[in-house]
Amino acid sequence: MSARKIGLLILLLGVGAAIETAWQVRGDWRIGPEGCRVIGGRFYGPSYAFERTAERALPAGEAARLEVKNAFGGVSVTAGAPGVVKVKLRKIVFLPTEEKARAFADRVELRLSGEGATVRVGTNRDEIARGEDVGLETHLEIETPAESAVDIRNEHGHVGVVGVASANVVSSFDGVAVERIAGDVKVEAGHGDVRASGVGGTLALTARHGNVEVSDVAGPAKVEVEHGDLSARKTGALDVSIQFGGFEAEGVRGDLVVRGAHAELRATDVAQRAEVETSFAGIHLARVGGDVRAIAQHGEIAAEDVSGGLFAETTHAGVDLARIDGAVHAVADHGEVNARGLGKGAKVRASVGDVQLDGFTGPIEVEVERGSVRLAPRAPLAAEVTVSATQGEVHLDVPEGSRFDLEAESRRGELRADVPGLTTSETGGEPGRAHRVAGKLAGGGIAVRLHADGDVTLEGKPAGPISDRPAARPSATMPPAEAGPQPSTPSEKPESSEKQ
Amino acid sequence: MSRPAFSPEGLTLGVCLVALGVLWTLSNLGRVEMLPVLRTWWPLSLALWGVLELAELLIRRSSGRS
Repeated sequence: MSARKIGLLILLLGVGAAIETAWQVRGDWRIGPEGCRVIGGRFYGPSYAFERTAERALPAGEAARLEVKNAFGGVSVTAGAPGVVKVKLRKIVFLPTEEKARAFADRVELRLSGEGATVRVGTNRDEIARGEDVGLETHLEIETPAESAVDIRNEHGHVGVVGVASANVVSSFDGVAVERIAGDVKVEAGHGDVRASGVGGTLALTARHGNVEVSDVAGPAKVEVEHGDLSARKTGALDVSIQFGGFEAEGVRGDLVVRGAHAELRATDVAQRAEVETSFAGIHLARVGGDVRAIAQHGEIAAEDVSGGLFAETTHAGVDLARIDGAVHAVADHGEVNARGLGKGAKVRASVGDVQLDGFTGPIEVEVERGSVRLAPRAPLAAEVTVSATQGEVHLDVPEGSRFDLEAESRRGELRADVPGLTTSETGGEPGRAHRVAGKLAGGGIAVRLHADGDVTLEGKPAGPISDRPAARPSATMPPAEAGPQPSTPSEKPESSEKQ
Repeated sequence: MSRPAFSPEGLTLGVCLVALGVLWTLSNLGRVEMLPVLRTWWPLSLALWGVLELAELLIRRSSGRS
């Protein structure tokens, strides 16, 4: 194919692509409607406000189902008198004169439709906006009986729901606040901060590009957040997915499950299990009532006061543990491991970092590459201890009252045992440099195996408790006290009416 | 070697330019909306070119036989 043909082909396809692109973005070129500007989903310029109200009576004894659809304006739903739905529409018209604005506003209708207990609230703004180029905000303030199930779809406007039976909100380009809901809550938010508090049922929340605050949720909560921080206080079981933000939880009455990426995770007072993972940030846990499973890539893991067992795996950062009642399994690739007060022993593997265990009972198995190990049990050794350090040293404090069979080897360093009562039955290596020692303390007992490329040292110490204090339990997390509306008595059969 | 009867790419480019000029003028006169028409019909330029290439091939073969 000649260069001329290739050039023509590129030209035709380029023109076609430009036409298709122009077609896709048509209508989005203008900066704003006549007489005003749109910046960040809001109109700016001279404007005039007009109000209209309407109400719809509900059949007696039936819980209302309220469906609201709006755009470019806020939606506020609050609990009101039983048996009736009251709506106030505030129309803000962006035109240079009041006459023009009033003439335009008169054409904007507040529409209440639906059958039986279903009430649909909306406006005819879509029909008007199709042919007009005028900035228009429609703000809806709605009072509905507390037993109402509320369903809201809104674009470019804040949504607030307070004191109803349940709420389902889909919102884009502004914030959402949901408070004191007796039942379930579902929120899908695009751009904007979200706050959900006092939820009597379950919570399902998805948010993109905004911070999320969740508090006092009685049931389980499932929250997905991207590009924003999540704060959760006093919730039921919590299932979180978070990317590019920070997570902080305080008081989880069930399991905590967090799948994070590029997100710092912090949680305290988790009543049951905690299963958390993240990348390029750390994990910090405190007072967990069950087992912990924590995985962090390129981030540190810190956990304290854990009632169950713990599995921690990290890369390029360390693991720091304090007062873990259950068995510990820690893996640190290119990181150190520090632990204090381990109640049921530990299995530790680390590379390019030291391992230090201060105060433990139970079996210990440590394997380190390019790092040293320092063990200070504090309590008399009563379970097997196996340590291997490649390109590192091993130091073991031997508390009074310990009884064990020793097998120690220093491949290229020195082996020192300064423990009263330790009898060595076999030594090897060069004179003056004991490379291998087998011995018994207090007649023997559990097996202690220490192997290192560098020095191996044993030092006698007085015995004591493994920790300054026992592991703290998660503080009591009570269900939300004021979640949900006060039940109201259905009124006598009202007449169906609508006035405007 | 005989010269081709016509240049398909030159003819395609010429037809496209004529069509674009006419369309633009009609758009300025308010007779048609340019973007929807362009968006609908621009792939025809590829089809036209392809047809002209085939035509040139056939002409070359037939002239080669004679």
